[in-house]
Amino acid sequence: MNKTLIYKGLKILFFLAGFPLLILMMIITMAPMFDQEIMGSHAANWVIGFCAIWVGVLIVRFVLDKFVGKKSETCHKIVLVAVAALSVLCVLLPSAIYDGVTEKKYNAAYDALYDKSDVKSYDSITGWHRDFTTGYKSEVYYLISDNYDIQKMYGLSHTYSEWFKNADSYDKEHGIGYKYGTIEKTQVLTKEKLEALEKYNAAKAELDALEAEIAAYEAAYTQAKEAYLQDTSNAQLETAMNEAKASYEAFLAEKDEDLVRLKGARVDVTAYKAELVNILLTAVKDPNLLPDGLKVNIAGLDLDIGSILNQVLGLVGENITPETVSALIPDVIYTGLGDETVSKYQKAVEGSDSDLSLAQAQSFAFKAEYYPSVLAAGAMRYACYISVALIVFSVFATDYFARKEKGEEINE
Amino acid sequence: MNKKLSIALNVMLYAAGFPVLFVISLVYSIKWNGYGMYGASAFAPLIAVIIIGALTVGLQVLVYNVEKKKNRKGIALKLAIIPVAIIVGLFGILDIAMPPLLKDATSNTILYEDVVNDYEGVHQKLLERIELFKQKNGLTEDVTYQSEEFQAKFKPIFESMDKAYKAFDPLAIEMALDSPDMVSSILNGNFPVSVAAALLLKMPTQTVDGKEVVKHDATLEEILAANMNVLLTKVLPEIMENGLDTSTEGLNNLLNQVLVTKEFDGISWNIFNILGSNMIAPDVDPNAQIVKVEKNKYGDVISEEVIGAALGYQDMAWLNGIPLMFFIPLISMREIFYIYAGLLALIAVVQCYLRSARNKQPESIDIIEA
Repeated sequence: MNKTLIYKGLKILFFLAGFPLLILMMIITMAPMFDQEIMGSHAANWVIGFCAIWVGVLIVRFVLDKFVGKKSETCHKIVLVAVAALSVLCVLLPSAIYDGVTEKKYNAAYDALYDKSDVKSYDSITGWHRDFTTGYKSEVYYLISDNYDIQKMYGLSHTYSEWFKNADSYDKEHGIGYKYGTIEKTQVLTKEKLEALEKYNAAKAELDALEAEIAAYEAAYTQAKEAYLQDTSNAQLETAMNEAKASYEAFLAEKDEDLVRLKGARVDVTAYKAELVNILLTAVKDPNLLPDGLKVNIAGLDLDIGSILNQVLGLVGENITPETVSALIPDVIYTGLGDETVSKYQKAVEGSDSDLSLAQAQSFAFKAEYYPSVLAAGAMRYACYISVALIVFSVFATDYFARKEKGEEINE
Repeated sequence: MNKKLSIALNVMLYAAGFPVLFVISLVYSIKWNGYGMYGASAFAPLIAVIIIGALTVGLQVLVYNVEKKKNRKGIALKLAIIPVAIIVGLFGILDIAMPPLLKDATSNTILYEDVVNDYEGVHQKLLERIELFKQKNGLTEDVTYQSEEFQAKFKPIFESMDKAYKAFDPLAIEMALDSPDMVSSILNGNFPVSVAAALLLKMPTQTVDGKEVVKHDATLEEILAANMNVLLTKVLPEIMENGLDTSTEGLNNLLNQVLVTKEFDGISWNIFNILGSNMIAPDVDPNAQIVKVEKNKYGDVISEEVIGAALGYQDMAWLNGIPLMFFIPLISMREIFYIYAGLLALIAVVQCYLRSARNKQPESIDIIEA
C-alpha cells in the first residue's frame, strides 16, 4: 500500500485520538444527562466548552507553527512541546477551577442539611455520574427517577416553575396562573417543613413539660389515695387525698386548652369501648382466622392447628378478659387533629405516602441545585483524566506522521 | 543548544517525573498506613510507582539504545508511549481482575465500581465497621485491624459465622439482606413466606438417594410439623411456667428457642445473628454476646464461654475482605497516575529533543546519563 496514504491515515487517526476523542468520551459519559430537564444544560455546556478549548488550541498551534515553528527544526519542536503542555493545562485546569469554585459552596450547603444520609459528600458524588454501573447506583439515574416521583406525588408536570399562558389572573402564592416545578416545590416544602420542625420542637418541649407536671399531680393524688386507703378512718388523710384530687383536676382544667391545642381534639370513647373490646377479643380468639382444616402431623397424630392455638391462647391468655382489655384502652383519646398539634408538626417533618419528609424535600432541593452541575463536572473530569496522556501523544504523533507524509526528514 | 543548559533541563525534567510521583505516592502511602487497616498494601501506591518507574525507565533505555543502534527515527514517540502503555495497562489489569475477586470476597456487597467511584466512601464504611467491632468487643483505641488482639477476636467468630452463613440458603439470606424490614415485607407479600420459613424455622427433610436433604418445596403444614416439637417441648412449658414475657428481651429469648440454628465450632447462629438485627425486637442486639459451647462426646455441654461480640454477616464479611482492599490506596492515586502518564510522555519527548539537540555526533547514549 502507498506509504504516504498510510502516514496520512495514521496522522488522521492520531489527530482524532486527541481532543476529538476526549469530546466523544465526554458525550458518551454524559449521555444519560442529555435531554433530561432536571440535569439542565451542564453536560452540553462542558461539551461546547471543550470544543471551544480545542479550537483555541488549534488556533494557537496554527499561529505558533506559522510564525515560530517554521523558523527552524528546534523552533518547531519548541512549538510542539508548548502545544502539548498547553493541551495538558487546558484539559486539567477546567476541573481544578470548577473544584475551586464549587467545592467550598457545596460543602457549606451540605453541612447545613438537616439529614445528610441521602446526600453524598462532594468527593463521593463526583464518581457517581455514570449510568452504567452494575448496581444501578448512578446518581444521575436516581435524580431523574426522584424527579419523576415527586412530579407524580404532587401532580406537577415540570422541573422548572412557569407562568400559565393566557391565565385570567396570576397569583403565585396561591398557585393561580402559576405552575410549580419540582425544584421550586421542594424548596417551598423545605422552608415550610423547617418552620414545622422549629414549631414541633417548641410544641414537643411544651407538651413534655405539661405532661410531666400532670404526671406529678397525678402521682401526688395516687400517693395520697393509697395512703388514705391504708387507713380509711383517718380524716386527715382523706382531706389530703381530696385536696390532691382537687389540685389534679384543677390543673387539668386549667391546662385543658393547652392539651387540646398540643394533642388535638379530644374524643371520649367510653360509649364505644365495650364494642371495641368485643372486636379485639373476637379477633384474638377466633380460630376461623386460620385456614380451614389446617392440620399438622405429630407423632402420627393429625392435630388441628386451630384447636392447638385455642389451647395455647387458653393457657397464655387466661388473663385476656374483657376487663383487662378494657383497662388497656383509655377513656379519652386525643386525635392529633388541630392547627398547632405536636402530631401535625411531626407529620409535616416526617412526611407520609403523599407528602415528602423534611429530609426528602431538602435532599431533593439540594440535589436539584448541585448534582446536575457536579455530576456533569465529574463526568468531564473522568473523561479528561483518562484522555490526558492520549492528547499529549496525539500532538507529537500527528506531527510525526504529517511530516512523514510530506517526506520530511525527522531528526531525533 | 548550550550543553550545560540542556543537561540542567534534563535533570529538572527527570526530577519532575518519577521523583515527584514517588514523593506523592509516599505521602499517600503514609496516610493509608496511618489507618492500620491495609497492612503492607497501604504502600501499594509507592510499590506501583517503583514498578512503573523501573519498567518505564528500563524499557525506555532499551528502546532508545536499540533504535539508536539501528539509526531509526521517531524515537521520541516510542519513548512517549511507554509510560502511557504501562500505566493504562496496570489499571486495565486491575479493572479486569478485581471485580470477580471482590464480589466473591464480600458476598456481592462491595462491587469494584463502588471502590473506583467512591474509594473514600468505602474506606469510611470499613473504618466505621472496625470501630464498631472494637467498641462491641471492648478493644482499646490503639488496637488496629492489623493488630493481633483484633484478629484474635475477629477470626474465630468470623470463621464460624461464615460456615453458618453458607449452611443457610444463601439466596434466601441475600433476599433477607435486601429487606431490612422483613416482617413488613412478608406481610405485604414482597417476601415469600416459604423463603422466610427456610431462614427462620427448621425445614423438613426428605431422603433422596439414601441421603437426607432439606425439602425445599415443603408445605406450610410440613414446616409447622417440623417445628412443632420445639414449640411443644420448649416454648409452651416455659410460657406455662413463667408466663409470656412481652418485653423485647423476653420475646427475643423466646424467639431464640424457636429459630433454627446452625452450629459450627461450638457457636450457634440463627438468622438474626447472620443479619445482625432482630426485626421482631429491634432494640436487642443479637450479636452482643457470642457464646462458644464445649460439649463432650455425648453432646452434653461442659462449658460455655462468651468469646466476644459480632456484627452482622455482611459487615463481618467486609472486615474479612479488607486484605483484598489493597487496591483502595492504589485507586486513590488513579487519577494522578493518569495525569502523570501524560506528563511522563511529554517529558520523554522533551528529553529526547534535548538529547538530539545536544548530541551532534550520535552515539549510544544512556537515557539516564543526566
